[in-house]
Amino acid sequence: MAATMNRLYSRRQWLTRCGLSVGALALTDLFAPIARAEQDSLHPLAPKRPPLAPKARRVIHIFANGGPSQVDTFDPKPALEKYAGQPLPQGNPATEFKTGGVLPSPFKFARRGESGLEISELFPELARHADDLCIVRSMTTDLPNHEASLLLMNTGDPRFSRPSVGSWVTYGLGSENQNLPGFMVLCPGGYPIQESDNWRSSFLPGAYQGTFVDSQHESLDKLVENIANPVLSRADQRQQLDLLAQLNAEHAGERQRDALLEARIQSFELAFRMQGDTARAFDLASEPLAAREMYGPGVHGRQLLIARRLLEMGVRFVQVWSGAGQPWDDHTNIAAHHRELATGFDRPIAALLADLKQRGMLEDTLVLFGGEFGRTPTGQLPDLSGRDHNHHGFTVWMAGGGVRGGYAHGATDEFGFRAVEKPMHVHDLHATMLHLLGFDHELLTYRYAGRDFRLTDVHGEVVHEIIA
Amino acid sequence: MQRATCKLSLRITVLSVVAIGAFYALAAHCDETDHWSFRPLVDTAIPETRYDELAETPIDRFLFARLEQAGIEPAPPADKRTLLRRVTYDLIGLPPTTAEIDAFLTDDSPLAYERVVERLLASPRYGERWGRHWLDLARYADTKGYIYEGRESRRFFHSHVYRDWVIGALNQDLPYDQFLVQQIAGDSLATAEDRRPLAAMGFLTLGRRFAGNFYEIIDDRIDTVSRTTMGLTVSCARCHDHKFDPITSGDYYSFYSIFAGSYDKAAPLDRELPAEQAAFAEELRKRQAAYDEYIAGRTNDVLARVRARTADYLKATLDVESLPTEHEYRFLDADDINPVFVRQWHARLIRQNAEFDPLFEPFKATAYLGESQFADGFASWFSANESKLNRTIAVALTEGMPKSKVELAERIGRAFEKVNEAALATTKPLEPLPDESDEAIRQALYGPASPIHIPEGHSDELEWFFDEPTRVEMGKLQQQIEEWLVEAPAGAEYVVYLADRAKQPEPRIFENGNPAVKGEAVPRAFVQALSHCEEESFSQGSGRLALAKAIVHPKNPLTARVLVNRVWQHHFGAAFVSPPSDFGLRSEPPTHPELLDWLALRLIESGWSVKSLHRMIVLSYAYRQSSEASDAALASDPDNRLLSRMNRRRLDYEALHDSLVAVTGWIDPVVGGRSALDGSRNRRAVYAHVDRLNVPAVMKTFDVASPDAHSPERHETTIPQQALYLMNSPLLVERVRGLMARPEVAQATAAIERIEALYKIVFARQPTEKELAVGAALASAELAEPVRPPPDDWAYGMAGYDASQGKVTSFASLAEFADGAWRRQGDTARLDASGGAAAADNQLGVARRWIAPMSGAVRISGAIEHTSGEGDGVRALIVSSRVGELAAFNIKQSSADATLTNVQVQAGDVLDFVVLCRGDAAGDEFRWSPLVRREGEEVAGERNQWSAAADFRGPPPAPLTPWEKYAQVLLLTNEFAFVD
Repeated sequence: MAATMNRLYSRRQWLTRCGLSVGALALTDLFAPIARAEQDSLHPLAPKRPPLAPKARRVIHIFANGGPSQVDTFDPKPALEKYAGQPLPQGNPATEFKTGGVLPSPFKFARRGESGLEISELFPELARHADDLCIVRSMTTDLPNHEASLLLMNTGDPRFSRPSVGSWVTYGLGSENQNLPGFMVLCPGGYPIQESDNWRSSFLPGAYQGTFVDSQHESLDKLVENIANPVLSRADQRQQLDLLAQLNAEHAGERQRDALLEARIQSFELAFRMQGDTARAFDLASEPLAAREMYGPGVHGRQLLIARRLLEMGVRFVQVWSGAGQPWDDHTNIAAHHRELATGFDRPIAALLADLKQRGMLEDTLVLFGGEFGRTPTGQLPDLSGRDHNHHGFTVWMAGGGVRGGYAHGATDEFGFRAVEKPMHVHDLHATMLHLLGFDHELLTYRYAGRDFRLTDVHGEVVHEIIA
Repeated sequence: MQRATCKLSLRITVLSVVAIGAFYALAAHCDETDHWSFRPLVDTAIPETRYDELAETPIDRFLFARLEQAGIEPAPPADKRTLLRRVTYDLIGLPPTTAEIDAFLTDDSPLAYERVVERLLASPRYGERWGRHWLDLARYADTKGYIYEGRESRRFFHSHVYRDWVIGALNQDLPYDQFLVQQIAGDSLATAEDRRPLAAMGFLTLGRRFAGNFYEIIDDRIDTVSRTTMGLTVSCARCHDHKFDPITSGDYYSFYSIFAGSYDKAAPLDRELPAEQAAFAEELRKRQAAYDEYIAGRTNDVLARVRARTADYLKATLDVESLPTEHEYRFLDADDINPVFVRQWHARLIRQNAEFDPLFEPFKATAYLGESQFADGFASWFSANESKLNRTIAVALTEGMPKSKVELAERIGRAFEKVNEAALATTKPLEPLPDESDEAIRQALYGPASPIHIPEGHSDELEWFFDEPTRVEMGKLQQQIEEWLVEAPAGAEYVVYLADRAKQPEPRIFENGNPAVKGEAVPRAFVQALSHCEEESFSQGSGRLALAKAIVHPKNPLTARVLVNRVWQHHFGAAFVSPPSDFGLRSEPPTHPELLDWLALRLIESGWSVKSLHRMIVLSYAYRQSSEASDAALASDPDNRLLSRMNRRRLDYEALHDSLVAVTGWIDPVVGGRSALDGSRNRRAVYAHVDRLNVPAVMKTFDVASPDAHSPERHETTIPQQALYLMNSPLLVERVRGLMARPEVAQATAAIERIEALYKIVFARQPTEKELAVGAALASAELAEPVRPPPDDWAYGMAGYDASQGKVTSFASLAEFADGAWRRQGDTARLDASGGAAAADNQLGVARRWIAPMSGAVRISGAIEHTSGEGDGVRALIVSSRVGELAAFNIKQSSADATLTNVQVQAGDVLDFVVLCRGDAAGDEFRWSPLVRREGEEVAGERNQWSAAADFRGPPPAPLTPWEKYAQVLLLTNEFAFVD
């Protein structure tokens, strides 16, 4: 439908409009419906101005999939020592498995930075940035299952096929670099649970779907499909495109100007440039040695450095996963395994924050770290060495992008089980993220199957207290 | 039952009517059913217009009438070549062949075009094209979406049977009403002789499985059926009455109960399997028996536990709304109260029946009493009704009046438990008990209407009834059945259809869509706003057949309108009503309401012949118009809503894919068959394997419909990734080479002649002088630069090994690469990603060579394994070019840990992983894919490890020749990608 809308122009009309359409990617007003529909089909990723003044212009979501334990990381609970081994006085809330007595955290917490935010010993490097962190200790989600909670965190709905947050954001804002996808997803080693549902565009156009990259690979052709031509040199490909432009011009010359024909002609030139930009984004050899060392060796250092390069090049939304499957899902042996996971992430994340800050990007880049839910303060039966899923209360933190640094928002009960002060549901997090990006979450909608859909469905409140 | 009130919708109706304006007079009274799409079809007289002499069919005169009003002239006819290309793509999704072009261009008969249309409609390719349109609506896929690993197969078995049924039905022009009825209620139409209608039911059963959450499975079915057939968004009424359309929650749960009254059942499509498949059938029977036996045993155990705890279950019903539903996965022990049985008990307690219920009336009678009123309220109710109660229950209650609801549940529950114990004590629990009152209780625990039962269904739906270990085990057994079926020999096709349950659920509204909160009971019926289409009672079985018949009832104005609109949409690239699956109050009014109705009526009159509908449309003048617009038309109707010209369209993914195969001349003509897992090489795109969780990036890039849900129209985006695919993908190279290999191209000697041959195939025309000149210039020139293959630190070859020196003395690269392995011609020698096979030689071994790109120490790891029972095993060596042999292993039906630490290398050194035969050349296959890793601290920004498996590559593909480089350009052009 959109494809035929106002596509053909008389020559006079064309001349007044071509500045808008031909490769120009000018900022357009989200609420000019005709121009919007045309832009969406011809230049779906053209940058768009949000309706409200934005504080953040891009997002990086570091997904600790599997569910990190809040009481071992960012939500200290001294009471756990006191009740060690005993069930909770009010009874253990129901979770996926059955849990037994309280399992005190094996990790020590300390006050960090001028703000004195308490962070556990698992994140010593990150803790140096305490004054930039906005820790939300009162998150809640609906269910104690990975599948439903991953979908809720990533798409705002636990069950149905709905567009992911990254898809909504790129739909709303387009992207700053037309030579790269607007929404990229890095995960080392394969898919997380629920697989590509986590970054799907669902009923939004495919251009807003997350582009998945298995970040364990190091060579470009294994990282990004079709990014280089294995049988033709760049110079020969340039000759091909020159002839193509000539043939297409002949073809177009015999017809009325048609925006769809024009857009396709442009898309080959974009693609040609995209090959170079993508190769550059993933080529860490061009990064100074100091930067590479700051991020450290290992897959997280590499993928977060790639993520920073992508953001810098104008990608709107980058999601970086902890790994395939559900790495943080420590039902057993949490003391050793959480340490191992945190150790892999700590230095690279700290480096990312420092790097963004140094480049002046932190102020308008929203950094979000968290899992799909948290874990129980009680130990999981039978051996009590790990913790079960906990949707009643968990922690995420944000930095940059207009959030209030050095601030802890809300609180769980004395054991860290349930969010009791200023509970913040995942929908509220989404509403707030969209607000930071310049959207009223109730107005960023898409008409599909007889309804206007939005990321937050009929829920969500912007939490102004976490905004600087 | 809830019915829509006028409050909300009044304003909206008025607004919509104003918008419809020119087409419809203001509704006389407040009634959403007066919305245009719910009104009966109107047979308008064919208008007379000033352009009538151009008209080819009555369609034109309806269109001309609007053009005349708007003062726009129809466009001139398209030229013959354009028309042939257009109609061929439209009807069969492929470009015309050169022979077809020649035939049409030279056929001067006035019937030439009609003949083309008939030829295309009779082609088996027609069903493949239009079948794909239907599969978008049916959200067809070959996999189930997200499921729990190890519980069932990720793939549907034989989903292609439904896809092929659709293609066949369209090719045979199965009347559209039957086409729908079979897809919704094929189980009622299948006979012993003809079981094909069962295949049609993939329409319902091939949706996402939602990991066994049947509320979602049913919702998906309701959505697919209602939007596909009638353009009704019934799913919007799941939590509350539809905000805009005359669809109530009652309608939703009426539909819900129809589908909840059916269950998924697998069956062979042919009753008798051919004799040669006896072994397959026997193994299947065994696997099925293992599952059935296990479930039967576990079912007896679970039901016995639930019966023995009736008091606990009755008490749990008091707080049923707080229990987790199937939206949440909880690990249950065998002794836990299972919420599913609590809900079944609850449904039994609130069952609608006018008569006094001697067993459960106390619950109903006190349901609305507050706890403080309970004691007095119950005592007085009891004294008035005691005589009507079951004696055993009455006695139990007399022994001490319950003071609370919990006590009431406890007393009655204990009475049940005692009767159960007595029944079990007889050792024949299924024998009737002598006492009439006790027997009534026994019936409530064991009888066919008991809430203590497990219904029919797929294991993923039934697992909710069991504890965790049982769920795991039944899932494993189910997976074994499904995996066997997936691999069934060709000819043994199985389908999953819906069958009616023996015990039909009572339809009730779930308040706010929450299955834990049961609301009002609703009748099982059709959408009330269309109740005049309901001829048969919905109480027969699940009511699915009655539903299907109501959908295709001639007085149902939606079904024919919706289909006509869809067919029109695909022919013109624009629909009368948009979006095409929402005919509710918020959709745009039709652009040509009279024509829409006129076509709908002709469709029904033709006996629902879809091919007749195509004929009427493609034979019209409007369809044959040029796609060029006059300036006047552009000024007054820029969006071409009035169709004063044809819309230019870009090939969709399938048409593009198929065209790229077609230009090679290799297209596979076989209709139907199992999905092609390999990206369908030379098969049409409709036969590609569709994995819901992993739709190939190229398909997403080209806007293929998401198979997660019904998809009425595709997005049409233009993004550089589409161009990248065409510029760089290996498949394109393969197509280009196929095109260049066609005899008319390959045999052309002169450049001009060859370019002409290419133009004829790719564009169905002669090149211009200029095109010849620029083409010949590029195709005849040398390549500008050689291609550099990607860097590779591994090589694959035959190594000469001198045991006395412990050194590799020669290395010859393997030249042949086939089936994912490097090979030596005429020999067993082979190396692949995970291992390989030795040559019949004990001095010349297969060798995987790692060439060190850095200096320092490395660690080598990875096990070497020999499994063959034949021969005498193999000898494996790790040899360094610097220090000679580092390690050697003789293995035979064994494995060895080939780990070496602190191996020093200088950049350019090589490590050879050599495998030699040990005398007997038989059974020399091995597994060995070493990992080389830098010792000590990793170095940031540099490679730190080299995995033989992950890094494994075949040879770099041959570079394009100048002619191939040129030919690819033709396949990238707009002329190739667009249809005027």
